[in-house]
Amino acid sequence: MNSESPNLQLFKQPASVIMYGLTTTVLAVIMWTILPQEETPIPFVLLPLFVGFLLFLRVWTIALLVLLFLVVLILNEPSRYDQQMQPDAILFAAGMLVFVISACRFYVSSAPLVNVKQTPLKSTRFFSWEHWKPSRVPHSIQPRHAQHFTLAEVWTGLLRACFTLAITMVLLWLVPLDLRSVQNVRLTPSGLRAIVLGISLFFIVMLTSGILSLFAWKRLSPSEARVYLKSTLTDFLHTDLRMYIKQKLKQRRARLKGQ
Amino acid sequence: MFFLLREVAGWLLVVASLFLIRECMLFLESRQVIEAGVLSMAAIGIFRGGIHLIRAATAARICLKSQRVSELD
Repeated sequence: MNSESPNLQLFKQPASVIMYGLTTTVLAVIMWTILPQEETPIPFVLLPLFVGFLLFLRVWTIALLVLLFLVVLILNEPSRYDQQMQPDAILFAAGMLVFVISACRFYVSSAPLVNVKQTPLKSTRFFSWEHWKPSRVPHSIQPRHAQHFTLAEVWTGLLRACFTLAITMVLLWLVPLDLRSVQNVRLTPSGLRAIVLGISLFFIVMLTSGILSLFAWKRLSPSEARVYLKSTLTDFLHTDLRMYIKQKLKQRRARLKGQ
Repeated sequence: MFFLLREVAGWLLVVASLFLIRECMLFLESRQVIEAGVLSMAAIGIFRGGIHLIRAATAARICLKSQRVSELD
């Protein structure tokens, strides 16, 4: 008997795998052929196309695409550095990266998902990807069955990408985009001296306090160390476990109050 | 072993942050304030990450040590 969720079964079908593989290949070829052309800026028309593909791709393919994107950018960096950067290319790259990173954040932090009630429309193949949604009020901890982004995650990513694009556009409008202008910025000697002294002082304080606190850290009691480890290791990656622990603590506190 | 690797990685990150701070000061000497600002932010992030790794490794070692002592008792 197969105990996996219907979504997982759906995404394991061979036809779906072939479709994802084909779209990944097409996207990789598009990026590989368009990006190296020095005269051609990254066309903005590709943005809705990418977003459309991202809605239906699995996480590992998206990670692969982002890696390819970064590799192409790094390979082309020396030739692009001497030229004037295109504002739409920067906007495109910023929007794409923010969208993917903010969507991936949900996946990495493995937010608990609740099963959305099935309707006849959602049981169809096209809408089945919104079967699971992240829960805002976790009454119980559920494992994440869906191996792809949910509707809420995609919309949050899009919202953050739009917000970042708006800020980037304002900044580009305020500051003329010329790489040489960065090298031409020079301060007066007195202003520079204040900045150098301030940064030096800050670094000295930061390093001293960091190193000294490390020596003090070794005198932790075992119970303190256990508490720190528990809180640290459940802080970033295991949000579901953290929520579970918090819920247990809340219940214990309520029980103690009742007594 | 796992926590030892974590501690080594933490110290490496601290050393890397010191190198970045040195680069940052070199930038400041040549009056390149913007580059220095960017590098200093990176150095602070790497330093904090390294310290965090070392702290976690130290706490884990203390826990393991106390566990061994209680087992021996």
